[in-house]
Amino acid sequence: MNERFDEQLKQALRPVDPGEDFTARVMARVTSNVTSIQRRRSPLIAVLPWAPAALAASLLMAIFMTHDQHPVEDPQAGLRAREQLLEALRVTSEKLDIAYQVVHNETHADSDAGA
Amino acid sequence: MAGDSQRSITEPRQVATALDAQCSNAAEDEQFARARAGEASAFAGVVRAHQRSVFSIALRMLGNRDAADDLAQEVFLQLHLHLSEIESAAHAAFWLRRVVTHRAIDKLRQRPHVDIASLDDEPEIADSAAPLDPLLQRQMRALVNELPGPARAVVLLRYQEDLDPTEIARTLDMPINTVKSHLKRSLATLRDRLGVGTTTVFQELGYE
Repeated sequence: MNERFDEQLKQALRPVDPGEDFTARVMARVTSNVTSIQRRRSPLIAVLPWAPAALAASLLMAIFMTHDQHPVEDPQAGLRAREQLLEALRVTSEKLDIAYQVVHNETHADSDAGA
Repeated sequence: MAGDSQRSITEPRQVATALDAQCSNAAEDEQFARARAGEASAFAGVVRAHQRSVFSIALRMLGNRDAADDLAQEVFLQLHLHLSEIESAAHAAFWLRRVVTHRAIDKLRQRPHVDIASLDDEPEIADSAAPLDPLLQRQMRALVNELPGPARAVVLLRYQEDLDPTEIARTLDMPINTVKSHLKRSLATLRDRLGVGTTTVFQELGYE
């Protein structure tokens, strides 16, 4: 009789299904959460993953061009190299500004949408 | 010899059962390892493997399907965030039971009054192999829902999850004597309320 009660209680408490779309809903939240965390950690890199590489390349160029590896025989050549470096840094800076605007606008759009 | 022949009859079945368990555990561990590595489909498989258990604990602790759904989703979300801290599929099962139960108990403490009527949302579980009284089952679930939170958790882990008192104690961070006490009192309450009788089922179940 007690075993019967025990069995009935187990039957009454058998696990039930949460619904067919439960897994899909969980995965949707997981994906959304992962994206949100990535944006909070580094919004610039999330939009432009090459930005750190571009900065590093610009800095390396600056170090290379300003380091006296050879005696300067042609001052004009040095000036041209300086101009080229400045142009490279300007282009990188413009791209980073654009990326910042994109991220800034998207962040405000998400905030307005209550995300 | 009789003893040897008995052992030869039972051993292959036991070995096969043990091998099946090992294969199942190996497959689960492999899937879990892929989930830890970031494979989304593998994590979805982990969710599917445990969603009935997690959802049912949440449902029977909170007594409300929507609240249980929210809690169960949140628990799996937390699992995903803590994957690096979990070592195996078995550890994940333990972690899930532990987290959902503790969170449900916390929620009950915040809102102790449960809408009993919402339990009607729980689907009847059909079992053609052993037809039992569905009305009695519904009554049992309603009475379990009236138990205090920690006692309810102990009963669910014992009868829904089939854990022994030691495993329940580990899951709930509860002394084993407290687990046994909750089981004893809860079963006595259920039997008394159902008018089933007052024999010491607790003793027969070996909890004393």
